[in-house]
This record gives sequence, structure tokens and C-alpha cells, in this order.
Amino acid sequence: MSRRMQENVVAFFVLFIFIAAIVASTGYGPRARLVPIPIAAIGALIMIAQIALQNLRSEQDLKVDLLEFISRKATGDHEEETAGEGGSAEPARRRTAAREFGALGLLVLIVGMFLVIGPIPAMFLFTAGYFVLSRHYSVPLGLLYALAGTAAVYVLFDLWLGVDMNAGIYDLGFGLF
Amino acid sequence: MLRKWKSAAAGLAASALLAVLPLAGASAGPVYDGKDVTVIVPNSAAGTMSRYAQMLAPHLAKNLGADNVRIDNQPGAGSLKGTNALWNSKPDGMTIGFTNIPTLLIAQIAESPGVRFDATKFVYLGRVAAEPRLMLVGGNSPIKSVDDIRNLGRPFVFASQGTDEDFYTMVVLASALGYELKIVTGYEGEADTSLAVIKGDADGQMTSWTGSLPQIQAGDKRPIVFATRERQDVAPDVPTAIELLKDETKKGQVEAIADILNLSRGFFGPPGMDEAAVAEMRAAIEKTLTDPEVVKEMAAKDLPIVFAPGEKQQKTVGQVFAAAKDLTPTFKQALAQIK
Amino acid sequence: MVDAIWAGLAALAAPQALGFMVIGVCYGIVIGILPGLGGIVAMALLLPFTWDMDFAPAMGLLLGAHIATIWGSSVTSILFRVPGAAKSIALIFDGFPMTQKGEASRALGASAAAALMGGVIGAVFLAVSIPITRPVMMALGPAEFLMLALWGLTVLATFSEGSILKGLAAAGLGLLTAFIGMDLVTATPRFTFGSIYLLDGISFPVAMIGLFAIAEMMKLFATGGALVERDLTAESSSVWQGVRDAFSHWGLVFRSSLLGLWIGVLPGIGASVGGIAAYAQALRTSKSPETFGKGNVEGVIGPDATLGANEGGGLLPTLALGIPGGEGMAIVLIAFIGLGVVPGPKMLTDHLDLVFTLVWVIALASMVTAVIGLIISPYLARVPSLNNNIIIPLVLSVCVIGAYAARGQVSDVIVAAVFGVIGYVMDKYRYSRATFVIGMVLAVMIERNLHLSISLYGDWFIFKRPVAAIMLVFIVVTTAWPFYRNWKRDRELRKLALAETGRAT
Repeated sequence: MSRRMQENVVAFFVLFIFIAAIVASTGYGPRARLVPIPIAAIGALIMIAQIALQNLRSEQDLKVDLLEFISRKATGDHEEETAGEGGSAEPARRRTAAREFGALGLLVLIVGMFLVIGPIPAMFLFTAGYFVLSRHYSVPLGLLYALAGTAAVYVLFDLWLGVDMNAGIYDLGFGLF
Repeated sequence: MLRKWKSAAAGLAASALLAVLPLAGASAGPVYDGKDVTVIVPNSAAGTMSRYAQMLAPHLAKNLGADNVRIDNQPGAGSLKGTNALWNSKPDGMTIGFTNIPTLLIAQIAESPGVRFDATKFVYLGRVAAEPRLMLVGGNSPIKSVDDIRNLGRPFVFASQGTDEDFYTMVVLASALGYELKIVTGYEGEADTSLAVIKGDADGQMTSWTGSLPQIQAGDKRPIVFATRERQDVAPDVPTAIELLKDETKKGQVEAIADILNLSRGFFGPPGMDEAAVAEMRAAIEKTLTDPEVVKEMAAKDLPIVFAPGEKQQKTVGQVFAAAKDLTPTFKQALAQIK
Repeated sequence: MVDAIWAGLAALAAPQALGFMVIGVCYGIVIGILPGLGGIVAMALLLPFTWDMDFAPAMGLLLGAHIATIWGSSVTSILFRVPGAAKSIALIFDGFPMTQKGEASRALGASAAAALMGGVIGAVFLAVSIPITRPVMMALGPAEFLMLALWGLTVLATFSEGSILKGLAAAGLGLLTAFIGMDLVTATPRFTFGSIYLLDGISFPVAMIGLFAIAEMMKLFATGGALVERDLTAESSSVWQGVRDAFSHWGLVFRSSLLGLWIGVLPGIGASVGGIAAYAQALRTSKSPETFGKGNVEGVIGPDATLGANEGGGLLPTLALGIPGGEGMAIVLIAFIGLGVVPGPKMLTDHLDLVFTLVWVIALASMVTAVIGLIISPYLARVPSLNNNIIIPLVLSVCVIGAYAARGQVSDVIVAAVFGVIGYVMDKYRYSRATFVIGMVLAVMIERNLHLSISLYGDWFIFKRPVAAIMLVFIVVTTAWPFYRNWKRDRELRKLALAETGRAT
């Protein structure tokens, strides 16, 4: 997907949220919709303007908004934008996408582990796994640091702050479900 | 429906299990010996409700013979979230709740979204405290009595922090005592409504007696009428709404709301709670709350104890519900006014 | 009066009282640093311990912890762009860019020093302002609060991060996000899709953890870069530089402190709004507004001074009227009652020594926090430059656990993760997260006070409330003025710019 395409997907999604908010708000009482509807309406107009702008400009200018450009001049700020990956090649883009999916997977992994095996076991396994698999530490050292970090968090939250962090420790494998 | 069925099934399973347990060789001794009991408090860890629970927990554990009585704060949805959790909990007696009971009843009568329980089916285990609630006006307000409100020539401006029991109490009082109400919602809390009343932005508010005591003493607020059945010793000159009423239906409505408010802070258990556990828990709560040492200790922390037995609470809930059914339209009308 | 001042100090000078204050401060710094937990949590957890104490040690412990959380939360805002609590949100706008420029130590030092000066100014003015508290509280109401919130919102218009259109759209999203849940004004569940969980709305700290912390970790993983590019910008500043900054901007500190004091006095305006208002004020009065959002130390000093002074302000109505000025003070009020002290006007006549004990606690706790802060800052400043393979798993785990600990709700963890993805996308496509957050903070305040103003004073309330009307004029002028001035000065330049981009349109 080209940068412009991606920008459009995001922009249309934001526009969709504003329109959905307007539709949902019409079902509320006059006082309950007094503030949300105008906000969503203004938001929708802004997004329409944004979508128009970003499709009328060349690929290179995409990262620089017209209004932003003017305002930068207006506020006397002439510093320049980072060159960015505006014209970068397709393989680079694909690499980024792969890593982004990796980041998302990481997030899903830690949250999933949290839900399934409980906060403290999840933290230990996650940190230990990351330390070892990233080859940042050797296996024993990684386990040791992960254990130390997890223990510190447990002491801090459970013993000191009194937030119950025991789920999944004694009833191993059940976690919070 | 499904949830009710599930909890009923769980209850059935639990009682079946309990019926089997004695055969398995357990002594006929108390249910709670050496057990861990969880008290769900559907209010924030910072509030008075939690202070009560935390102060009482060790005493309760001692009287139950339990290993530990743990407080589990589950705030949310105006204390409905934790209450829903209790409704779905295992009725083996190891999980009970502690909160302001009127909130639950009124939420159900008003048919609030988020109510996933039937308050009449909870097992009530004992009242810990009762705080009379009353209507107050600002110190500089011309209003000195309910008659003054009726003769105001304009609606009485009521500062409300949301649709809580104070909101509904005020609505019932206004409809029974015969004055028009202009409800102003949007205040952030009692501090905010108090300020509005003192400033004269609004005419009146509802709070507890202790909540307004400093301002009453300073002459910033004036008590007008109590939402209780009897006059209060702390302020014998302030009338109750009931004594100002002649019409029996209206009287009945105010009595219903007064009874609901009088349920106040109390312990309660999930529907179908194990009977042996209920008996033991009620006894232990009574023993704790009637222990002069505990009462003295709590009073010293400004957490007064006004005990009422669970059986009595249970009966009141049943009666009040029958009487309060016809309040639903009044409640709905008030809600429509603020939409 | 003088006797009471010394009596107040003497009560606090006992070793026990000082000891508990230092414990409270250390505890508060740690709580502040942990994501999702703030001063309210710190005090609520300490409350039970104070029940058997005397007044001075109890207040030293409670208020000491509360005050220390301010700087503690600022630390994570500055170093990781993760606000430790809602009130420190304004610190990310310039604090984090300073870290990126290699000025973390300077930012931390400025933050600690500004909070200290704010705390001391707040404490002094607490004593001086007691007689005028009442009239000011009586004069300001919902209409004026609405104007204050709108003033905070005008920061959006001048915010320089990213595209203006996208920034405004992000603010709109933030406003709408804040409306999710049960609307307390009209008892309407909005945007909840029938979910009970959503009735409570999106928890602000949880959304912050997702938007900033989790998103930042995802970005680190995806780009493979470092949180702070050490090769390009070595940590080049010192803590003392920051302290000097705070002192040399004494005018800003003074203005911000007074702002914080009065925001603290008024119930109904939280410290998080205070931080943003302080930032707006710093931006408006700065000589170089264009560098805001890019690591201007003034953007750190202003909010921290306001937050420091806020506590003194919150105590005023608590003491004088028994009406807490904010959530934190509500807990102090509970503690008062537990200690057998009945707040109210009598407090100022009969128990003036206790009032001054509180004044001293605020002043001394601010100092202890600053001293500890200055000692540990150089070490903290190195944390962001640790290897990714250490930072990512640790921060991600702590975020997930912090999101859970904030309210003890499992669903909050999922919400934090969702906001993590949203934050990542917003960052990548340059929809400003800062304006999103400002919208979220101010939404409820705007809506509540708009409804209150209309209910109390009618649709044309602005003409009935002269103070609000003056504030509105002031807002319009201060917002428009820089644009007008620059428009005039740069008219030629602007024509040139339009000509350049003209081909694209």
C-alpha cells in the first residue's frame, strides 16, 4: 500500500467514527446530544477537508499539510521536516509492515498471557522469553533478570500497594478467566 | 435470564456439594473455620464504605473463626458493577458484599441500565450503619420551611450530582410535599453542590447530617426536612417529611423511600447463599457490631455503628419493594426531565 | 499569628513527624512513577496508617506522599512520554522533546525546582489568602469554569506538533472518547453499545498508558530505533541547569503558582485541567511560543509550578468551609475527621497552629521531594537510553500490570492495548496524541459546566455573568492576537508560501 493509500484508509476511518458518533447521538435526549453532535459534525468537516487536501497534493508533499505549512511560516518557524521515508522503495515498506505486525503480535501476546495465566506469571514468561530470544542475555542471566524484575513488580504492587496480583500464581494456569 | 439460570445452577451445584461434604468426613463444625472470606465492596478504595469494611474485617474474621476476611474493591457503574459480580458469585458463603443497599434498590426501581440483579433475592446479613439524609438550603436563602418552598412562586432549584438516591429522594419529596422542582444536574460531587447551595446558585441539596455538619454549624446551610420516619436526636427541631403529610398515598411513598434509605450500609450475600453459612455469618456480624469495644473503636474513627439484624433487613426489602413499585413512574418522569 | 506559625513548625519538627514525612515523600515518588497510579491512590492506601497517629505525623505522611506524586508522575512524562498520572499530562508536551534533545537531566531538575517553588509559593499564599478565599469562591461558578476549560482548549489552535487539521480531528476524537459511558448530567449511557464495562467510561490513566507507553514500545519494536537517539544527542545537560532555568523564569513560576493555587481552591476543576491551563498560560506569555512542543523548558516549568501550588490551594476550602477543593483533599478531609479535627471557619480561629502545620508540611515536603529528585535525576535520565531488548519487555509488562492495577479491572488491560494500537497509528500518520488527550481531559468539564450554566442562568448565560464574559473576550483576544501579529508581519512571506504550494492546490 502506498503512503497515500494508507493515509486515506486512516482518514476515512476517522471520518467514519465521526459520522457514526453523529448517528448514535441522534438517539439521545436533547441535552445528552447537545455537545457530542456539534463536535462530531465539526470533526467530520475537518476530516473531509483533510481527505480532500491529502489527495490533491503530490506524493512528496503528503507529509506537509498546507495549513501547517502556512502556520509554520506564520509563526516564523522555518525549521525543516525530517526527510522521512516519503520516496522509499517498496521492500523497505514491506519490512516496516512486517515489523509492525511483529509489534502487534507482541502486544497481543502479553495481553493474552495476562488474561490466560495471570499478571505475574505472564510478566515473568514474557520478559524471560524476550531477554533470551532476543539474545540480549544468556539463558541463565535472562531468567535471573526476568525473575528479579517480576519479583520487584510483585513486591511493589501486591505487597506494598495492596493490589491483588496473586491471580494465576497459586492456581497456575487459570489466570483471570 | 441466562445468568439467573446459571447462578441458580451454580447454587444447586454448591448445595449438592455441601450436602455431600459432611459425608466426606468433615466435622459438623462451623462453615467458616479456617476459611478465607472475600467481601466485595463495589465502591472505591478511598471512600467511607471501604473504611467501614476495612475496620470491621479483622473483627468479623475473629467472630467467624475465619482465617482471613479480605476486602475486594470493585467500583464501577455507580456500585452496580461489583453488585452484579456478587449476584454471579458462588453462593457458598465465602463471597459476600458490603455497600449502600439503597443504591441497589433504587437503581432497580428506576430500571437503570446496568442492573443485572434482583435486589429482593439477595440475602441480607446485617446493617452496619444508618445515616439519616436531609434536605438543606443555603444559609442566606429566604427558605426556612417546606411551606416557604411551596410559596416560592417558582420551581425549587435542586443541585444534584447525578441520578443517585438523593436525586430520587428529592423527587419523591417534591411530588409528595407538593412543590415544583427544577433539577440541575452536572455537579461533580457533594463539594460542588454544597458550594452551589451556599452561593445561592441553587436552592437546595440532599446530604447526610454528618456531611453537612461543619457548614450547618457555621450558618452556611440550613436543615429543612429529614427523609426519615422519625425526628433525629441530633436536630430535634427539624421535621420529617412524613409528619408534614396527611394524604395516605403520598405518606406511603415517602415512607417507602425513608425505609429504603434506612437500609443504609450493610452486608449482603448472593442469592441462594448456603443456609448454614447465612446463619453463621448473621450471628458473627451481630456479635461484631454489638461488641461495645468495636462500637467504641469505630465511633472514635467517626464511623458510627447503628446495627440492625439481617432478618429484619430482609423483611424490609421485601415490603419496601411492594410499596415502592408505584414510584417507578415518578422516577421515570424525573429522568425524562433531565434528558 | 506568629505564635501559630512557630507552633505549627514545632509540631512538625518532632523526629517522628519528619520521619513520616520523608517516608511519605519516598512512597509518593514511587507511586507517581508507576503508570496509572497517582496521588489519590497514594493517600487512600496510606489512610489506614494515620488513624492512630498525631496530627502532624499523619499529615506529614499523607500530604507528603500526595505532594511527592506530582514530581514522580512528571518523571515518566518527561523520560518516556508516559504520564504517571492524569495531572502530569502537560509535561509530555515539552518534557519528552527535551529528553530527545539530550536534556533529560535539565528537564527533571527544572521540574523538581519548579514544583518546589510552586509548593512554597502555594504554601505562603495559602496563609495569606485565607481571608479572600470565600469571596473568590462565591464569585466564580460554572460559567467561569466553562471559560477556563475553553481557554485550555485554545492551546489546540496554537499547538505546533503535526498538522493542524489532523490535530483538531484528534481533539474531536478525544472529546468523543471522554463521552463514552454513563452521562451523569442526563443519566444517558452514551456510546456504550450496551456494555456494562463501558458505563464507567474509558479510564483516563488507562488510555494514557495505551496511547503513549504501549504505542511507544510498539514503535520501538517496529522501527528498531531507540527511544532517544544517543548517538546523535548525548545527554548533555545537568540537573543544575534545570534548577537555574526554574529560578531565572521566576515570573513564569510566580504566575503559574498563583494559577495553580486558585485552580486548587475551586472544586470542580481538577489538577489535570490545571496542568493544561498552566501550559496554555506559559505558551501565551512566552517570548518564543514557536519553540513550544519542541523542548522548551518553560513548558516544563509552568505546569510543574502550577501542580506544586495546587495542593496549597486545595487545602483552603477544605479548611475554611469543610468543602474539599479536589479528590485528594477529600481524602485529607476524611483523615481530619478520623483525627478528630472538624474543619470549618473555626479552624482558622481556634486551630491556626494546625493550619500552619499543614502549610509547613507542604513547604517542607516540596523541599524534600526536590532534594531527593535532584539526587536521583541523573540516574533516571540514563534509563531511556537502555537497550531496546531490555526496555520493551519490561515497560510493556509494567504497563499491562499498571493498567490492571489502576482500577483492578481486567477489561482495562484490553482497553490499554486497544489504545496502544490507536496511539501507534495516530503517531505514524501524525494525528497529534497531545491534542487528543487535551480534548479528553477538557470534554467533561466543558459539557458539565455548559449544562450547569444553561440550567442556572439560561441560554444567554454569558451576558448574565460579567466575569465569564470578560474571560471570553480575553480568550478570543489572546488566541487571535499571535495569529494577527504574525499575519501582519509575515504577509509577504505568506504570499510566497501560497505561491509555492499553489501548484499543488
